[in-house]
Amino acid sequence: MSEYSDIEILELFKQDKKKEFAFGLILKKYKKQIYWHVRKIVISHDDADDVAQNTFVKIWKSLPDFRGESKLFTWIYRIATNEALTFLNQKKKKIFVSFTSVEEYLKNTIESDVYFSGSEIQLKLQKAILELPEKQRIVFNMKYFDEMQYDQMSEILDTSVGALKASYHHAVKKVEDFLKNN
Amino acid sequence: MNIDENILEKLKNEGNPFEVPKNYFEDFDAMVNFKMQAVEKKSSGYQMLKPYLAIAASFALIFTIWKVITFYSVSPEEKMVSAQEQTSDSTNYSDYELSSLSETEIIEVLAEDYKVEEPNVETTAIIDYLIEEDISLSEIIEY
Repeated sequence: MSEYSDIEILELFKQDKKKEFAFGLILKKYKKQIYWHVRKIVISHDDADDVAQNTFVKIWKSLPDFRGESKLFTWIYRIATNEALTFLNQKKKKIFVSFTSVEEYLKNTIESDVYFSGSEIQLKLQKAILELPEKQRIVFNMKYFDEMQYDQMSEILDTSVGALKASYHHAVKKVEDFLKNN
Repeated sequence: MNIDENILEKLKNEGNPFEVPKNYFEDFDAMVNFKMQAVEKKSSGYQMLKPYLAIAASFALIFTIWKVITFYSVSPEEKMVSAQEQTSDSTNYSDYELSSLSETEIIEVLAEDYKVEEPNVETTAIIDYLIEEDISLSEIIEY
């Protein structure tokens, strides 16, 4: 089956009988990208699974109201990013008794995660990324791991390209410094 | 591994350190569908309750409106009388009785009602008690 474009998927979704088929196409096309995007933010597999599923449930519920003002890809990524950040905010409220910060909790999670098989230096890289402020962390992940274009990131994060470039530059410096000094 | 200037470039080639359970992405669609059904069931439960909630809300609204109308339809004099009736449970003075009295008389009457009964203790008994307990004059002044 050749891959449907986002525009074709949206056209299919408008037809009542093909709604579920169109949603199936969205799932097929974006599930991995969204899962990995979310996983890098929330770190643990179980949490990423939960957030990714919630993201697609939200997409299903909100798609009838999607007006096409932005690209489907951008819209989906924005929902996923918001869901992941909301999840972390809820976590912050719950974990404050055991950990001083959510970053400390995430570092602890990555060390004990059975679904993390990275080398020592990869673990160190993840810890360095977790030292970054929340927004800078997302920018770094999207650029470094996903190699996303700045204009796409700009639409998703609603931030200017210039600010994103500066943010990524600072993040790279901080990560390199962390790796050298630890 | 030596950490040099190009560490990030080198690390990029090491691949994804994160893993997922076996067949995770194959089962993902089914899990999402299951969650969607659960969410729709939950919202349909609310949809079923919606008419009953609307009826209950209508009754509450009607009751509130009725209360507001009856409150504003009573004249200020009637309100005053009913307020007096509510506050003067212990002293049932009629308007006539009160109007026939002067202000100082009213104060005396009311003061009589709230008068605290003085204890019936003899002065000598107090002095005896103070001597018995060895309480000096300076201690009394202190208190």
